[in-house]
Amino acid sequence: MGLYKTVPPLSGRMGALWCLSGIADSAVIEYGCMGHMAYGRTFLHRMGSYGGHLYSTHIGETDIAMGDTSRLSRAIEWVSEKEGIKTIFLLPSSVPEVIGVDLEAIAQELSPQFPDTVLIPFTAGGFDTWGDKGIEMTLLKLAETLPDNPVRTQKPSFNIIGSCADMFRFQADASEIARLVSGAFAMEHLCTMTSRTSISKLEHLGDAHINLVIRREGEAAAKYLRQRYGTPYLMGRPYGLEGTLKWLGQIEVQCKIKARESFVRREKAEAMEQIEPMQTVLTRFLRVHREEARLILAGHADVVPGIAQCARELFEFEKIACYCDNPGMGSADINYLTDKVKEEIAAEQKGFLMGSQELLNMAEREQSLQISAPDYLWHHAYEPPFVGFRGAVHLASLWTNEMMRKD
Amino acid sequence: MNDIKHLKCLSAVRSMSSIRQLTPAAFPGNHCPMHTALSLGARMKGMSTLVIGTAECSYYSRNVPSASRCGEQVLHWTYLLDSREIVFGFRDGLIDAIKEMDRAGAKVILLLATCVPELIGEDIESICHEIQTEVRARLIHIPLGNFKCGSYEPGYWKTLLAMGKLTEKVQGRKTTVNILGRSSLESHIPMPELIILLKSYDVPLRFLAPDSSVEDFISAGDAQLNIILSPFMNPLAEWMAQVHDIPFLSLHDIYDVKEIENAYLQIEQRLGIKIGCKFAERLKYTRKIQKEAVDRISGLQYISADIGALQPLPLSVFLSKLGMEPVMIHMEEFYPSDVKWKKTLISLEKNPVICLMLNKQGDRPLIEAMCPDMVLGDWDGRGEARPPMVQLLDLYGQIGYERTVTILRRITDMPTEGKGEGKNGTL
Repeated sequence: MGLYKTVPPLSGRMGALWCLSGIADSAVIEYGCMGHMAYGRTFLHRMGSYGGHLYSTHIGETDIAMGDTSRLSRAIEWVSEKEGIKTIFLLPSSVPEVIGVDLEAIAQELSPQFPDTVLIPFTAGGFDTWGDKGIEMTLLKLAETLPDNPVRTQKPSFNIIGSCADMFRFQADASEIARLVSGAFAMEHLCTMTSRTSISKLEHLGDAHINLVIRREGEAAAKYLRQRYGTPYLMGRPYGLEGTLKWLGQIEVQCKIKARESFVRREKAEAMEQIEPMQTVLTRFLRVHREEARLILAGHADVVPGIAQCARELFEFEKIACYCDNPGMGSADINYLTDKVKEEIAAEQKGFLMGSQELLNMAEREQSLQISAPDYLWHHAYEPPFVGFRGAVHLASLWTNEMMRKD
Repeated sequence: MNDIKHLKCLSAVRSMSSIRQLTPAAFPGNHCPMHTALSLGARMKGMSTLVIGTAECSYYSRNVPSASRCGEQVLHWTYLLDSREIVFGFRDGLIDAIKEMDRAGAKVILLLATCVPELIGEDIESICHEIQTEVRARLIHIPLGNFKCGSYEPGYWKTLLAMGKLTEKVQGRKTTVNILGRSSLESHIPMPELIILLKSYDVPLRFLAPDSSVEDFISAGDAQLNIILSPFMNPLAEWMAQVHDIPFLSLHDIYDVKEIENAYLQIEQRLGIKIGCKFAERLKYTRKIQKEAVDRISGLQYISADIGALQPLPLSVFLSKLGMEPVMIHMEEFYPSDVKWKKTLISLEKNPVICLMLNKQGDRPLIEAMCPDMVLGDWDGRGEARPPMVQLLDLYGQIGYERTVTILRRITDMPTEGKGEGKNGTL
């Protein structure tokens, strides 16, 4: 790991916490120093994640020296009995990870004491894994643990897997996906793993006809659900008009349901009507200012190629470069965004840049072009999405407005 | 009151480790000392920082230096430990990191060691000594394990104390007075009347606080007096008294009109300027307010909650002398000077419960069940105000007669009737 001049990737522990933070009727009790949760909760609230109750036990020198975990027992008792929360996720922070506190064993030992409370311990991969692993393991464990006696719904239904707080505009994108699928196929939206969801919704994960997996970290959970309940899954995120139509077509094939043509046609037409005037001005700008016809995208490895595809479809960017913010997700097409690359990108004066708030700050660019975390402003669930027909309109407006600033 | 039976009374408290949480689950709890050390370091001109720890420490804290106004001349980098380094140590990696920061132009580097490096016991202090001769940057190590404390306050005082160690020895004394604990740039809080008076006498003042520069700390050894406006500054002042022979006067922990008069008299004698006569009216008025307050507040019970930068025990000593009854006090740090305040409070036959309030929603029913006449400081009862809240958070950096008058007015203005269980609820 070593020296970082800018924000490093998330740790596995952070990935787990961020993944669990949006589950209503549940609590996360982090065993360890409270400073982490003080930061974490503020960060999550700032990113618009809400639902779960986030607690910390704190830990002292004596607890460490004596191996005393009574703070955890007391916190569980208080949350279960005083707050009435009956599903409690247990997470270790960094100090218990070092001293090797066995949360699995503690949960087992305490379970008889709280017969009406479900204690679910999480491990987050020690010190050598990044946030993606924490999210993957957490989604999988939720899929393994919570679904209860699934009964396939009579009406076609779907889950969204992978909408977690580390993805910028995660709630907006999940809402757009749910709107599209419900509108196009009259399917019932059962559960989103794990934003704006609840324990009772997660208990019905197995009832769905299809799982829509919107990031690679969700595939392990989807595979488990396919194996356990026979639910098929579709990997992908719908970007741009063509990309969205193609994605809807894949759902048609998977679910063997025809999309409602009137809905799809109307959605596409409405989007095009808004995009076309922007196409006229931005395309002209890019043709005249060839040096500006470059787009750099830096964010999650499943997000940036989609936005790139939308940019290619709608506008005449000559060159599009994609970078991912997780060292384990780099590929031939998408390099990892190192400190050095960030500095090089920031030094670029020309072209369009979309990335984290940090990268945009470094490059002294407009904040509205943000597509990835971290960021330090307050967000909410009602912001415009990047995916789907509405996402395409939104992206087109962001690029066109950036052109206005340049022109 | 089974819900508070795990807490200790003041007489049994000797350090932070005896102070327990009022509610066992922090929601979410306080910041760690790294946060405050970093925010202080990032606001000092010329100061670079290196946070040593895990991705959490690094990721979440980056918004702190990003808000810094110190520009590009400083570096705020992080060093992340991997599992091999956690087992075998991170000495080599840290040395390389320091050298790289040095090459990049850092002048002073605060090495902020968070929980994991503190837990595994890597000797960062020795590493600093060892390579100090090889780098131009001054290295300052600050141990900030969150498990060693109950709050963020050590982040302030440890950083300030470490900064004081940069102070150079001087031969001759100047007329400068160091003001420890607030900045001259903080326009959102009123400047204490004493400081305004010192300025009017053209006494050269050096403000040591956030927004000071590294140079301010280096040259602070020439002062004839340190005036302290914040409890975070006491360790630094004590160090400067010991090493640089600079006397100090702590004004943040005195509230009684007589004590303020005496403190001002000491400043008057030391600086050779007239202070007492300038505050004669203020003194008279404060004395009157204090006298009148005794009749109105004597016997009233209170809980001291989050009172910000005010040190809780000295305030409780003052209010106890006026007849008030502290029933519970929230303490985020137990300073060495608190030993003295504890003794005084016990001698006044007050032995309140001491706790850490880390969960406003959870603490609320416990506070309500205790039925005090009022709660000093921030708590969750703002909406319904039962028991009523005396807001004190805005008194950061305030001292003197005017602060005493403000506090007493706010307390005496509190409606203390209409409580559910009559006046003066009991434990």
